[in-house]
Amino acid sequence: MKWHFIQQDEQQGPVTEEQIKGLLAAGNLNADNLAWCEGMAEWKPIGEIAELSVRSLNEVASKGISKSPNVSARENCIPTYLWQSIVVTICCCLPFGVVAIVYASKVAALEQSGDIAGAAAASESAKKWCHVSFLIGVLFTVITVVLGALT
Amino acid sequence: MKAEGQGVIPWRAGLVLLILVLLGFASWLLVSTGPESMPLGCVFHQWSDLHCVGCGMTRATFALFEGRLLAAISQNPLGMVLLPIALIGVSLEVIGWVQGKPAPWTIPLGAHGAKIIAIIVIAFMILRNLPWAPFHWLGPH
Repeated sequence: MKWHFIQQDEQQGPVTEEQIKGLLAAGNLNADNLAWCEGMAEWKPIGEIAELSVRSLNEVASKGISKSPNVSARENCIPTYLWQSIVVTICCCLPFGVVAIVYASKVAALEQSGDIAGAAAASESAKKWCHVSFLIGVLFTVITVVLGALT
Repeated sequence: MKAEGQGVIPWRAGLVLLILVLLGFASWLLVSTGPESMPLGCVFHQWSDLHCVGCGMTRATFALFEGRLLAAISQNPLGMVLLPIALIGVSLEVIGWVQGKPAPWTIPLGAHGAKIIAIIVIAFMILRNLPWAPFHWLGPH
């Protein structure tokens, strides 16, 4: 997952999770710096981002910097693919899209319950079934158009 | 490590433009030839004789282009409601994705909104295949 962050009023990135944690460890970033990755609705303080907060807050605490007040809030960082699933289900005329919707519907709830790994796995499955449905839909559309052009 | 997300990412913008052009072409084809003259029907429907969630959307879209809203809704009532919402959701994410930034706004679904949508979609898919009234009205006709 690639992250962007705001440092001294300037947007930086994309960087990896490890790089962000490295910057936190080095004291170049703290829990109040805003960060964002694809799938998040908006920029959030690093201290409020579940994926980054566990270690960063420990590090921040050890450095004596004030904690963000909203530590428990988990931001939607794992993409759900819900809208993509619905579009491929309705437009590709295939039952595979429904599988994607079922996985997509689990992501937010799993993430909220703290099961980040489970949410990430559901997100990956939703993405996979979106791709399967989309590619088969495109394949059939191409075959239809080609056959239509030939007849 | 200068910010990369300040502008538009060219290949993403190009891909979105290509898809928009293809959608425009498909719309023009649909309007000019009508849904009945599409060369092949739905392969899934021919093979299984079942109506999937999207069945009737080509006819519904055509009816919508002609301004016949009720006819469009009767072809696929759920699709006519859910597809516009989903397209807005996807478009907002695409606007962010093209710029390597967050979506400018996301549709607030709450904790269980996505699950409710999944249940509605599955129920709709099952019910519209039942052969008796009122359920068969949910199928295309």
